[in-house]
Amino acid sequence: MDTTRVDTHTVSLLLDDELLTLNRAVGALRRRRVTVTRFALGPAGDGAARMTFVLTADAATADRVARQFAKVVGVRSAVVLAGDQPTSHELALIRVRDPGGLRTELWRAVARYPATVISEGPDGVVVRVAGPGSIVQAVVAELSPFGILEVAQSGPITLAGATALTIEEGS
Amino acid sequence: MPERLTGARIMCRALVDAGVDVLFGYPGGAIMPFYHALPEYPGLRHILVRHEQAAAHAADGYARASGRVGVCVATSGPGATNLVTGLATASMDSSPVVAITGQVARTMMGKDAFQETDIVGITLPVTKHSYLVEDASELGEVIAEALAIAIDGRPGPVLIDVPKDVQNQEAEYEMRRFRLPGRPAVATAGAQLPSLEDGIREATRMIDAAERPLLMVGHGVILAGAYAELRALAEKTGTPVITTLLGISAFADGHPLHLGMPGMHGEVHVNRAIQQADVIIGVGLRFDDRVTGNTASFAPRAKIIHIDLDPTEIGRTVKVALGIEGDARKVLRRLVAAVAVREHGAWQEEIRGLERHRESVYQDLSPESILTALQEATGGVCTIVTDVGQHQMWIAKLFPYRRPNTHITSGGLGSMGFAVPAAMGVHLARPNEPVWSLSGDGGFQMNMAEMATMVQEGLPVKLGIFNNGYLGMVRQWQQFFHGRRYSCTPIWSPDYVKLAEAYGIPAWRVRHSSELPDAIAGANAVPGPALVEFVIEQEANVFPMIRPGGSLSEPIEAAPAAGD
Repeated sequence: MDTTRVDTHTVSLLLDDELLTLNRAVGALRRRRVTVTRFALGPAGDGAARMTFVLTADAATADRVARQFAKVVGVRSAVVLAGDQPTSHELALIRVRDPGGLRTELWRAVARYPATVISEGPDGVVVRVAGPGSIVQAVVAELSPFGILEVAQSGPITLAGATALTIEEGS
Repeated sequence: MPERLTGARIMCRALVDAGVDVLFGYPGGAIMPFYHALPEYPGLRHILVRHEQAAAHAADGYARASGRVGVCVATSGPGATNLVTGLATASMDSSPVVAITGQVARTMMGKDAFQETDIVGITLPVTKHSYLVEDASELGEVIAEALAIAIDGRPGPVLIDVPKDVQNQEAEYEMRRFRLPGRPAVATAGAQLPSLEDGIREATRMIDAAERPLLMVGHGVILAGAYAELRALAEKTGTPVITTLLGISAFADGHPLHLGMPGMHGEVHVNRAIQQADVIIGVGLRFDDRVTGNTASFAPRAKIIHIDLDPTEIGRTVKVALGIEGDARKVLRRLVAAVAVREHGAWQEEIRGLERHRESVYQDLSPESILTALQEATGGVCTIVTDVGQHQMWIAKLFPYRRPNTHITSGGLGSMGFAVPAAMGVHLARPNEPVWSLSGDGGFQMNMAEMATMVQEGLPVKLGIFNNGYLGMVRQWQQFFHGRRYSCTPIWSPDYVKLAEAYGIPAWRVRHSSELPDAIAGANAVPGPALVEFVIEQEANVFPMIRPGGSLSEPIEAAPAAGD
């Protein structure tokens, strides 16, 4: 495996759902100058929270980032997943301009993806999409000709089973 | 049987029960309940410092000299923020320190109350862990846990912030046997480190095949107490040993395999050895920028084996051929058993051939003469605590440390002002041997108020000042790299002899090397603190020097001519 090739990695941390622990974990990102492109945080049950973020780095750096977090007291596990994982999902709400005469085309475009229209009105149409990051990006690209007014997008969340870990870098 | 105690008494009891016997601190409003309870616990000796920074440095010095956790105490707000430099120093040098800070009452927190500060937030990046104690019932466990975490694995500072009303709140206390939480699981697709077994096997293969091997060792060897194992590996494999600034005294100066310090102020033959080596066995060091210079040209022929307790250090700055995660002592012991006996006489001769005896470039009262006199007066039986700057480098290079862990300095953070207060902590850890605090005139003036602490608390620290009238290291950089513009580096000093006299401290001023023996013997002979000022050449430099970010192959060995 080439550990020097720069690629995207998803890091999933399970840590105590406590402000101080979360603060320390986020601080570690800043202090170690880890550039994170997407970030998600939410409760994971049993007094834990799951923090997921995506970074672009070589495998050795991603590995070191995970180990850096493993040193934080209160972090229960740290998993690095290479590339875009099938188990990794994001959520986006996309508001597009009122399509007027292009309503049918908009609906057809939405139907090609795991996406739904959740509201419609004079201030635009809101489309919800959930899925791997590549799907969310595809929907955003698909809808851009209709005139995107605003996007609210979550970071990725993922559940890394033992099998996911055997996925080789870049595969 | 659980007892019902106030939070303040629980704090004291938990410290006593954990084996703590000395605290460095300074009282104030938000920590008053703790100080009110303290006299009831005579097992806790409190050293009243003159500034909280000194409390943190003293706790750090105590920790480094004793191998136990050093504890410092401060009030909220300015008391707590004054600790920050000391905590950052301890964090960079992996020193186990616990800081206890008072905080405003819970009902006042978040309202910018008098002397309120978010010290937990401020210290997050320079602490290993921190606590804000919300209920007195947690205090016993928190203190036990904090002390355990500070010294577990790679040591570091831990902060405990205790609101004033929690100190007054009553709760049940029972001594807890504290168990550290398990290590979190780490799974990565790019996992780099082999198992210990595989690592030892591969390292053995590399060491056995090496023709020009080097050992480079750092603070990790001292923290692990791996002196015998290091020596055994060096002797069995005929491998010369380089000690980083914080690794000094891990391997005896005078041993035929001892080479000395590498890096920015390393001797030419030491750095050349690094550039010529084919295998470098790095143990408990970070390969920081002061050691490596430009990493692109560092050790170009060497395969590096990096052994460290902290896997995040492995491969962070230099590319390593093999990383082994583990305690220095444990890994070295395994390696000693596994490697083949080698001689490497030709390689050792090659390095020695590069060594040259440098004619002193200094005037009569040279750093060499001072350190030789100090060595002769103490027979080497003393701990030397240095500050930061030129004197620190001279001492690192010239003092022949023969006994383990007798050189204590602020390496990673490079905190001027460290030596004087840290030496107080060292004395309390080693009350039966002399402690010399050696500073420049700049660093000494930063924390010289601690002379009062030494007098009040009866701490017989010997204070040496290398006075050249400049912030010497900065001046040297100005001379070499900034066209001799000595911007803001000339520094005035008071009359140190008279100043010491004002504190009731015997003092000597030395201008000539002939005066050294009497002054040093006199300082050593007085039962309490003593001060010796060494009036040295104003523009003495530390040679050789590697330009910041430069290659270890390109040492500067003389000052640039004027006008360059």
